[in-house]
Amino acid sequence: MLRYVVRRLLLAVVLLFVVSLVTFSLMSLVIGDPVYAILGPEASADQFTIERLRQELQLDRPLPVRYVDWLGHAVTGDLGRSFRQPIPVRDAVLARLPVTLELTALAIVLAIAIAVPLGTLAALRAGGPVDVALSAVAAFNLSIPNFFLGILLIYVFALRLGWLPSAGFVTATSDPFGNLKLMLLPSLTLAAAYEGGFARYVRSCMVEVLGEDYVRTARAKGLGRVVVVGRHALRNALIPLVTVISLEIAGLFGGAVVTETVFSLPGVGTLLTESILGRDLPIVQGAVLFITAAVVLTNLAVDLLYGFLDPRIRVS
Amino acid sequence: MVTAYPQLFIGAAVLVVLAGAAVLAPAITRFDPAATDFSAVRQAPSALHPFGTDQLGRDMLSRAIYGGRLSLTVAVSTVALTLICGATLGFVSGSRRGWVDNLIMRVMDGMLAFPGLILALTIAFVLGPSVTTVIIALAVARTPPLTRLIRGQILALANRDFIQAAVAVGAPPLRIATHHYLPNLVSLLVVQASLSAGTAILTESSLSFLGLGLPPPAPSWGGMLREGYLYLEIHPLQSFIPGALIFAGVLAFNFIGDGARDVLDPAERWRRTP
Repeated sequence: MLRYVVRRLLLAVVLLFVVSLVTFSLMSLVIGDPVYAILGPEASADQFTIERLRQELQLDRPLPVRYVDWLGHAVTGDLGRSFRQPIPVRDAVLARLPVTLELTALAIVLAIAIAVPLGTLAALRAGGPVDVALSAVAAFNLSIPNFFLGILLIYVFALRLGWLPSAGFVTATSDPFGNLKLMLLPSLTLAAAYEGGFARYVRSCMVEVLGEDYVRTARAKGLGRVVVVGRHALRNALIPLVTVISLEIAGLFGGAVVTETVFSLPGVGTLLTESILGRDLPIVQGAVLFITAAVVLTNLAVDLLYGFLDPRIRVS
Repeated sequence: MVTAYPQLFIGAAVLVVLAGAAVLAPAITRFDPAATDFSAVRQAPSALHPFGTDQLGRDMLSRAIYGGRLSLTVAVSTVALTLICGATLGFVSGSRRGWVDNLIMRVMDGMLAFPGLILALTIAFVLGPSVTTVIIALAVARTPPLTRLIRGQILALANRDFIQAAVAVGAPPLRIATHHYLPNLVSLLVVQASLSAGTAILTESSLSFLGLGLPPPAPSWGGMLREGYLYLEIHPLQSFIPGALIFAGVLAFNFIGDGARDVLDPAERWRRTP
């Protein structure tokens, strides 16, 4: 197990390094004089800002030197300061991070909670009504853009029925119930793209497991259907789902950006889009780095969990 | 054919309607998609404006059709660029092995850690808003998964006898690539092309919805939804029409992709539906 953990950790570190390199190179590609690209057409009006920017970006030094310097600061958590507000990038991103993490966590939980029963039922009666419905739901969910689904949900549940709020925000610590009520539609929206795929996967694993010898043995012992499916089959059918979830983590964080915008949630995603529209380069860079680091670290956690759940993985 | 592969048929039918409308745009609608008419804002559907009008009195039908033109053009160009990059990188990586392979795959791994949308957002930010930018951004975001897929296929094929034979008789690498590998990758590429087109429409409209994609006044489905969303309560149709069109476009390409897989790879179909 230790070797497995160490190998995963090393891989994650290498990946984080590549991610930082890609982020930095992309940002250094900002076409033309970055100062003007960042400030936009009104740049000529303010000589002071231009000078400050030039110094801050250290444009006179070669690229590799700037990268090493930037990375050195980034490792200690120093990602520079916003161009628009007098706050460090780290604080700006950290203030928004809890909402994004809550949204993605809730979406994963919802997707699993919907997918497991649905996939299991579909597998028990392959070709039956649940199975057919699952295929239709999965096709629908994979094709509907999550911003459109969000807008439809807002229209029905907030504007027409008035059951749920469509905007406004309260933190989980100040008003847990109000916060959950508020996060329900966004997390349902974000989960939609994944529950169909997860359910299809649970279904195919379940069909496979139900044909295994130990399931037949359990049945032959005279165990009830619920016990055979719930205790014997489901456990083994769910292990591979962990890998599928880890493959979708990146997409989930990307979807969160759009979902946050639709529901005007104060997360890292809305910070990113606001900063892109406001051409606040340090924040864009910091937010992208945080989101990808979150993806890498979540993947690492899932990999370790997988090794813990399935002993065969640790050995090979 | 129609009954054996309903998905493929439905997908193709929807795509024919959308693409047909895009190609024949000037013949279907006589309204300029950008022409405003402040005497007729936010109108309900009528004989004159079958889809109604938006907050500036622009004809929604012609915006929808010209938006489709743009979305489909972006999707097709993105797919072409993605296939060229992905196939080349995947082939080089899979056939050369060694440090070249390692370098390419580690960079791809790093790029895969970026959510596709965020990579596209970042590139669109760096290059500034334009149609070309969006195409490049979408293609770069989609290349890593395709490269990985093609590399895997190349590795699987490399040990087959007919490839080994071609190498043994001294066929030049380019000939092996085009005459021996490529025919065996065609079905994979067809399926991936269609699925990538669906992803391209989805990501492009997400970018435009966020205000970071195709710059206005170009009519794009995502951009129309972005504007319509502001009037959701008083004029919901302005959101529902572009949303439904994006959904239809993505669904069409996904169905064609899945259907093509069933046609080209029957074994896979049996495995999926036991």
